Amino acid sequence: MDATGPSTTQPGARRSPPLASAGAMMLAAALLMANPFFGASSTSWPWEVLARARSPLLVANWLVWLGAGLLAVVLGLRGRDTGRGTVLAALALLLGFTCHSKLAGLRIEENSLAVNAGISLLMAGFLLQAWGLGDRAARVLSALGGLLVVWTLACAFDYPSGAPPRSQLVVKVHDLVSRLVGGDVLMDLPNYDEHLASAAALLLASALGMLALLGVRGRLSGSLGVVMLVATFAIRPVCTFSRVVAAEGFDAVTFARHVSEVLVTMGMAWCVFMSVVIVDLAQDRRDASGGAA
Amino acid sequence: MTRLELEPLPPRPPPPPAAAPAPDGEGSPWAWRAGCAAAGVLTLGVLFSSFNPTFGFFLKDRGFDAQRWPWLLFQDTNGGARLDWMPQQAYVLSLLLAGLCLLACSVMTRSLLRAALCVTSLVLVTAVVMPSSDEYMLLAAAQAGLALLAGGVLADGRGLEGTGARRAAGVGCMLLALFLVLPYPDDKQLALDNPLVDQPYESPLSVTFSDLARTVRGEMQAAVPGGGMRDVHLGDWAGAHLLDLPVLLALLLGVLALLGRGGRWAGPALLVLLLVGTLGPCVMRALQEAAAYRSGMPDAEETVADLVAVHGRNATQAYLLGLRAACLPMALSVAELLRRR
Repeated sequence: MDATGPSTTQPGARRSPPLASAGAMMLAAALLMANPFFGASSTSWPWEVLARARSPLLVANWLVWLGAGLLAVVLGLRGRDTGRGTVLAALALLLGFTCHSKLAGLRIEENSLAVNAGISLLMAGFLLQAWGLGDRAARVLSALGGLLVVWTLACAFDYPSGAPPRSQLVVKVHDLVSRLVGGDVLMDLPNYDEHLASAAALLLASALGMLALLGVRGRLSGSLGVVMLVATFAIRPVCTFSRVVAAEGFDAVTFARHVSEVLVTMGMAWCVFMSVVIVDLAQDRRDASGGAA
Repeated sequence: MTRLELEPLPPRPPPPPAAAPAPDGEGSPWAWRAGCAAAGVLTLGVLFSSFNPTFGFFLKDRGFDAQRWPWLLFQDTNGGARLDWMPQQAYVLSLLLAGLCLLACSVMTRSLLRAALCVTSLVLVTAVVMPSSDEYMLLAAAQAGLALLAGGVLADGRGLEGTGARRAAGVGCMLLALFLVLPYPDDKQLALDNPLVDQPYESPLSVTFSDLARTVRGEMQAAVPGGGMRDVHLGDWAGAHLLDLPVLLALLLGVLALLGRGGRWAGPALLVLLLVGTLGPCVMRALQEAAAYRSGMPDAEETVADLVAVHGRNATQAYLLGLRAACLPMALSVAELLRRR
């Protein structure tokens, strides 16, 4: 392991601190959602939630989430290449499909599965760029993720009453440009500028991802892309929390709830986990083919 | 004694290099091309089934008139070009471009452009068919698993020696296995509306086997459209489990391929299973609903156009559930990306 990312020299003994960190983030997110002190969705420990749950699907969702997190921590620190990428990718994909369903115990509500899948691909591509690994994989993943996010937003329509349907991409771009030149916006939401800032970060990251195909890639653009994707998730909760702190002072419980909202409800934990698993798989392939990927 | 003059032996050729890490192989090019052609035709079929003067149904529940040809959406009443960006235009453009990309891929030689077109078609289709309804998320997981497995095996027909292909097939197998054992609520809508209500949960695997056992014992009955019950035979059982059976068979075939016992036919066989798993339930639904339609109106005179309309609409609507319409492009894109260049 070097200072910037996972080691590329010894595939048989490769430890992956990013994978272990992503696993720890998943476990932390679950504990923030369910704990007796400041649980966002339950004031019991996760195992008590599991013991009480009536829906086996909800239990399965919690178990897969916790199991994936624990396995990522153990396999990431253990450092032996025993097909960990395969197992973790399958668990991550299953979580992706189940957590976007209303039947799930740990629900992702912010974006659709297609957008979050695009964000995961983008983040994986940016991480590979930032760590200087897998040029071809980084290029393909960044471009694919960017295209998926942009086209999904273009094809997702809101149906306001009494008005024609509006593409989410068109609304976001129109409102961003309008705000910049001082015009009127189409949406009327409280604290809409925070939504717009988050959307701007996502659209810029997508554009940067697609530019990778044209040769705009490297450590700087990779790092910039990762920062923009983190900002996509973090801007709104940080602004909301700042307002709460300004009005009521700092409160650890509120802080923990906001963090759990970013990690679980907005889908950041799953996106980071999925992207780190994709990076691990890309590295495996690169190591096996002698660094040609 | 003459001295035997021997020609000096030619220098020994250098030994072959040590076994390199297994690259991703060529796979089954003809199966891949056939898959591309089928996916292109199916994608364009969905488009023309959604928009046509006979039974176009796109956004009918929102009052949209889809009973016209898709190109008319891009013309205004005066015959000029119309450049709105509405749901119907997004849908038509996505499916049209995706279908054309896939058809082009089926005739192109292997190149970066072909890979780009294939992946673009996957993005275009996925963006418009990704389920937004909670009901179909787990179904979509199984279909994605089937596509990953088929893509991995198709990328490398030689016993899955390539790392990427092996990983993709492994991920697909695990996803399918997890789907088969994951507990499903008997009534998904009830579970969504009131999660505290007790109701039976069963995994697709247990449902499949318990239905098979009951069918073999002759205890299985099904409601018929006109009212009443009738015995279920093995053919009906197979029809009712047209998604689970290919998943089960694909899982077995995938495990064999991972163990190096798949042979060169594993890729094409998985493509066929994928097609049966995605198209089979659509055909069954179309037939069942057409039968119900006929039994509801026994004296109605059906023309061929009526039958085509009823079957076409029902089959297309079923094909748009979950990730069915994106399954084949996904398998083909995975195979294309994982091939060695």
